[in-house]
Amino acid sequence: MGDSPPINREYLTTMCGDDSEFEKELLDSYLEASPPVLASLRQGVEAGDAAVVRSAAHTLKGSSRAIGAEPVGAGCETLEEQARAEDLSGAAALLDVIEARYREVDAFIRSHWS
Amino acid sequence: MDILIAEDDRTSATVLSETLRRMGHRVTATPDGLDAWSRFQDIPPDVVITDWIMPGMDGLELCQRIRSHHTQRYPYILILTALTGKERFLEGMDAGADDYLTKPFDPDELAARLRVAERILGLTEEVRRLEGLLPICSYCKRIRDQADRWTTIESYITERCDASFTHSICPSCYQTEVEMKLGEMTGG
Repeated sequence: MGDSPPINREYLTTMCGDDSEFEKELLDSYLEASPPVLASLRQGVEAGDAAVVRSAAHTLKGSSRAIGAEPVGAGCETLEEQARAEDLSGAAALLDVIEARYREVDAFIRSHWS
Repeated sequence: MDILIAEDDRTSATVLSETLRRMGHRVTATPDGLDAWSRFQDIPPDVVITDWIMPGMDGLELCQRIRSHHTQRYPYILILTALTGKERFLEGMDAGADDYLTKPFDPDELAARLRVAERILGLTEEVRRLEGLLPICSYCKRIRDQADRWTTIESYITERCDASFTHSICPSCYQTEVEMKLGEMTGG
């Protein structure tokens, strides 16, 4: 993950202003909505179903970037491109990275906003 | 403005809705193109902000449907998508969008684009209002058409719709015009 934090807080502040209640609500909604998408990604990768992987990666990319979770978003973008090209050869390894990054986002949110 | 959103990702929809509400707009959020299309037909909004890739009906088809559907007022469409590149932009604009923004969006940029939308909607409303005004001569009641010709009400209407005229005299004119002339003839 290098130097980039799990969530770009500056971006999140730009989107939420000084409304900390909304910020919390948004992050909770992200944590609630993402696990089923990650599960769908895992199933798609294991089944070699490029359409499922592409769709789930696209969804998680959008929601992650909406809260400023750029490392997860970037990983999903690469996976989405691979699925669009119907090349899932490196998908399992990439998904491991995405899941690890997601766990960091999850921990980051729980430690900063709970 | 009344803004209709079509966005399948819940987190993105929440961020967008809240941002728009904070800008003072009234927001209706729908989770896909089909739902948005149905809402659009029920209550046409001022602005539609649509994602591109959605299950069921995508944003491109939503744009095309809206443009082929007659509404009294012009609906402004903005595509908000993670899809980038000139080809996608042109495809979206050709489908009928007025503007194209990529995700993740910057709230200041979105606000600026919506100010442009408001300006354009104001102008289209002004044009519609002006087109609805018919200049009529105060004396002879001829109407000036778009080609700047003065024409009678009868020919103006018959040229533009299926109606045709049969000439008759209403009771009030019969009294003031016909009876008066008859009186003059018999009395004079």
